[in-house]
Amino acid sequence: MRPRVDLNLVARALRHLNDSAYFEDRLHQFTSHIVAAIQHVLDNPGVYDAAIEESFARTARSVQAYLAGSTSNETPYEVVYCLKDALTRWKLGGAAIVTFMTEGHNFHLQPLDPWDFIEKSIANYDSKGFKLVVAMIGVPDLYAHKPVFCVPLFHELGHFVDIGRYNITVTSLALNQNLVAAPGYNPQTEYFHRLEHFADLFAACFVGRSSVAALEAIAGAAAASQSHPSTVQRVAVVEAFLAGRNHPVVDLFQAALKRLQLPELKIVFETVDVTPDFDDARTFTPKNIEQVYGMFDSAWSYLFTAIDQNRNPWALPVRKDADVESLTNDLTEKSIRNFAIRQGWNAATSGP
Amino acid sequence: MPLLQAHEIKRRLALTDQDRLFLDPLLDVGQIGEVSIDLRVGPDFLVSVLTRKPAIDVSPPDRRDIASYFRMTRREVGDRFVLYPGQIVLAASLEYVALPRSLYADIITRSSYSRLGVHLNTMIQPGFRGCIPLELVNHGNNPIEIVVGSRVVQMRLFDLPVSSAYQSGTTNRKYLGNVRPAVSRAQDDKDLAVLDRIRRTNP
Repeated sequence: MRPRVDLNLVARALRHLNDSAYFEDRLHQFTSHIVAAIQHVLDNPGVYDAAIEESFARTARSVQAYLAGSTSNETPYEVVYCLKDALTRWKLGGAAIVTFMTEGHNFHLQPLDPWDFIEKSIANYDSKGFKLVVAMIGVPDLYAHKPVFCVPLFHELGHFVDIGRYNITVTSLALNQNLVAAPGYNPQTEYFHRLEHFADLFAACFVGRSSVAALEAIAGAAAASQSHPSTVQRVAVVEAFLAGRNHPVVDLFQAALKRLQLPELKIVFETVDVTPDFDDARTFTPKNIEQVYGMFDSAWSYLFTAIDQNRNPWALPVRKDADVESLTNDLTEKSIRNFAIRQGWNAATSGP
Repeated sequence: MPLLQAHEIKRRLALTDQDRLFLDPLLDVGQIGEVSIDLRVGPDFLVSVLTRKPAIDVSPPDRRDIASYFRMTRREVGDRFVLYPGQIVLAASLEYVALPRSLYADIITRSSYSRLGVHLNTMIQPGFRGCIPLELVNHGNNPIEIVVGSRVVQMRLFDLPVSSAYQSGTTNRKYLGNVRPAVSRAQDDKDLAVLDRIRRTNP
C-alpha cells in the first residue's frame, strides 16, 4: 500500500502488540518509541521525503513482524539465553534479540537496524535519549523447540556482530584484499565469502564443530557461488581453527579484530559428553555456561550417531528416529533451561 | 511399600547407580520434607479453551485432535499465571525427575494450595523420566495467581519390594521424557477401537 497508509497500520499493530505481557520491559519501550516515531511522521506530512517515508514503512513492517514473532510463545528461549551471553562476550550485552518464526527451513539475520534508521532519517523525532540495539533473527518454526537444530543461530549472530555492529569483514578487506575468493578476484565475492567465514568462525567459538556439521547437513555438497564459499572450504577453515592450526583466513580476522580492539576469536565452549545422562533419559547438568555451549556439539553427535547407528538408548519397544530426535532435543532444552533457572535462583538468593 | 523419609530421600539423591533418585534442579534442599519433596510449577502452561465442538471426543473415527482444545502459553520463573475457577490447565513441574525402577511416587497438592481450592492427585510409575505432569484445576470460586517456580505440589515416594520396568510391553510409554506439559493421549488407547467395533455391531 502507500507508505503513510502502511505506517498507520503498522503503528496500530504495534500498539496492540505492546499490550502483550511477553516482552521484556525494554522491548515495550522500544515498541513505544517506534510507534511515537511513526506518529511523528504521520503528524508532519511533507516534512520527510517520500523515499524516506517508504523506507520507514518497509523498516516498520519488518520490525512489526519480528516483534510479533517474539510474542508467539514459540521463541527458542533456551538458545536465545545462550545468544545473549555470546553477545555480552562481544561487548554487546545491551542488545536485545527478537526472533521471527519463519515457515521455511532457513535461518537468517535481518541486517537493518531500525533504531539506526530512525536516528539518521527521522531527524526531528526526539527519542529523549532512548537507544536499543536489536538483533532480529529468523528461525524456522519447525525448530522452535529444537535447540540442537538451532546451532545455525550462532552463525547468524556472527553476521549481526559483523555486519550489524562492527564491520569486521570490511576492516579485514583493508588489511588484505584478495584472500578467499580466488581464482579471479571479484571484490563483491571476496566480501561475501569473508562474511560467511567470519560467521562460521564466530559460531564455532561457541558450538564447536556442530556449527559446520549443521552446514554439512543443510548444504553438504554446495560448491562455491558468488555469495558463499563452498561447504568444503568453510569446513576446512573451521576445522583448522578448532584444531588450533594456523589458517590465513583465521589470521586475517584476528588481525582485523585486533585493529578494532574487539575480542579475538577463541574457543569458548568446554567439551562435555551428554551420553551417560541422555542414555538414562536424564538431563545433563552443566557446571558453567561454557559447558552449556559444549552441550550443543555433544547433543548433535549424540542425536545423529543414534540415528545413523540405529541405537535404541532407552530400550523403547518400538524404536523410531522421531523419538530419538525429540527426546534428545527436549533433554538439551531442559538442561539449558535448568542451568538458567539455577543461575537466576543463585543470583536472587546470594548477597544482601 | 515403605514411604521414604527425608534421610532416605537424601541418600537416594546422592547415589550415582541405578537406585539413584534424580531431580534437576533442586533449588533448595528445604524442598525435602520429612516424608516428601516439594515440587515447583514450571513455566509452560496448556490452557483449555472452548471450541465450536460441543465435547472432546476421544473415540474413533471422527475425532478432533485433543491438542486443539488447549493453547500453550509461557511465563518466566517468578511471573504470575492466573488459574480461573473451573478451568483445567496442564502444567509440568519445574524439576526434571528420574525415578529408579524401585520407586513409585504420587503427587498431591501441598496443603497451602489445597486450601485455595487447587486439588491434584497423580501417580508416577517406577522408572519414570520427565517433568511431572500437573493437571491444575481451581475448584474454588476466586481466580488464583500461581507464581511460576513456587512449590505447589509434593511428591511422596514409596519403595517397591520388586523393581518394575518402565519400558515394558510392546508399545512405547506415552509420556517418556516430557519437558513441557502434554495434552491427554487418551485417543491413543487401543481398546477404544475395540469398543467402537462393539458399539457398531450392537443391534
